[in-house]
Amino acid sequence: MNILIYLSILIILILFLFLISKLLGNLGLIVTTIMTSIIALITSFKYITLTTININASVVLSITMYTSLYLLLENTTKKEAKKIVVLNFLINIFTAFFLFLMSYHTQALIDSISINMKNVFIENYRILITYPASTFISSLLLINFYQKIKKLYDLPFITTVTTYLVIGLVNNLIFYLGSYYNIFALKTIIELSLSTYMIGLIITVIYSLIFPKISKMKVIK
Amino acid sequence: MNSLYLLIIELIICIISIIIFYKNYKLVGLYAYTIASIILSCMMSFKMITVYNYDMNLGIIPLVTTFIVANIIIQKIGPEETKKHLLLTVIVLTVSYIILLLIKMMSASKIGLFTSASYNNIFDNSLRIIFANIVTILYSLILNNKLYYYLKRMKNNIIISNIFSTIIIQFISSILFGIIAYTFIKEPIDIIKIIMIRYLMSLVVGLAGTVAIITTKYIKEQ
Repeated sequence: MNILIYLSILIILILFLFLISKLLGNLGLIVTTIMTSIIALITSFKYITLTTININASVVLSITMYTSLYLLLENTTKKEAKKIVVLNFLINIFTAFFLFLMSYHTQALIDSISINMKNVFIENYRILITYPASTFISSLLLINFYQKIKKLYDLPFITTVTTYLVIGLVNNLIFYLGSYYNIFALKTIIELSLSTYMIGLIITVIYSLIFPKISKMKVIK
Repeated sequence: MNSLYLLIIELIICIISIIIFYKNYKLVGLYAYTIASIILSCMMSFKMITVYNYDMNLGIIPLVTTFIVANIIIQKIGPEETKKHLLLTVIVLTVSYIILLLIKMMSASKIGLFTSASYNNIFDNSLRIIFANIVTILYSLILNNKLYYYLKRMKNNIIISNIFSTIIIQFISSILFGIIAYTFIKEPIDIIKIIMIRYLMSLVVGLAGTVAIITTKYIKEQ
């Protein structure tokens, strides 16, 4: 059941990416980057099981964010893409701060959700710090690596997958060590980061197959 | 800390963020702010807080500042751009909550089970509030864009346009949200109280937002 739901999320995100780039062009890609990054921050608190593998629920959203950054790099300059990465970082900080404030408010007597918000966003406050940091660092690395690899091999499949091999590893290591060091055993942290990394690689391969179609798409006027 | 102080902090941060995002990123910054604020406002509205003995939903501040952003777009660019803003708001809000609810439906792993279970509980019984939020934002934004533009054409004064549009639109928005979210769940008197405090808060935020519109007026377009 989990696999089916996860696949449907992936299909929704692919369709969203198609639709929004067709309607808004580069602005659509920026919107996708920011939207997926915010939802990835919210969902990064949950862990799911796909068959027997435990992964972070946000991985599909993070890969969609990276894909929209690859597409943005195809259409704009490195400087412009860096500007968007900084904007995304600021938005993540803004979101994390508001999620914390939301949980910190004293609830009304009739409220029953507040305790759950505290359990998620205040008990795991480290994620609210490490997620924006890991996303920012990996996105900056993405911009540099993607351009360099593209100069060597101008094939979307190779450039996107090779870039992910580097940035995915960096992102997962920063995120899991920053969020769970001294909370989970080191073995669990490594298992989680590797399994999330592997699932991320599969999703990147799927995205790399549709990548040329989206990058060559013309915007509706 | 008192909820009122936290609300004031939220308001100040929102207004400063709008100004900073516009100053550094222009229209893209405003769109980015809109995406963050609508997703947050919807999620925050699941929680109830008490202000002066009245219960109200959180999330009013990010929600009302979305209208301020729409007014800045009308003021700086024109009504045509607001159509794009509206389209983006609806698509982003709908897709975001479909994904969040789908992830909620997935069974949690044994690792971090307590956090994952709490995560799922946040979204329990939230469907109606999400629906109320989407309808309220969509309908009120359409009306706001038309009214603000009409007032701007009648008398090109930011303060008058923003005050009048806030007074009318936030009244409609508060009633719409209260009715859709709580009819048959709460007593009519409680719904009226929620609408009243929501309207009052929205008015304060909307009026404070005038500062952001006036400040952005003096930031030059590139």
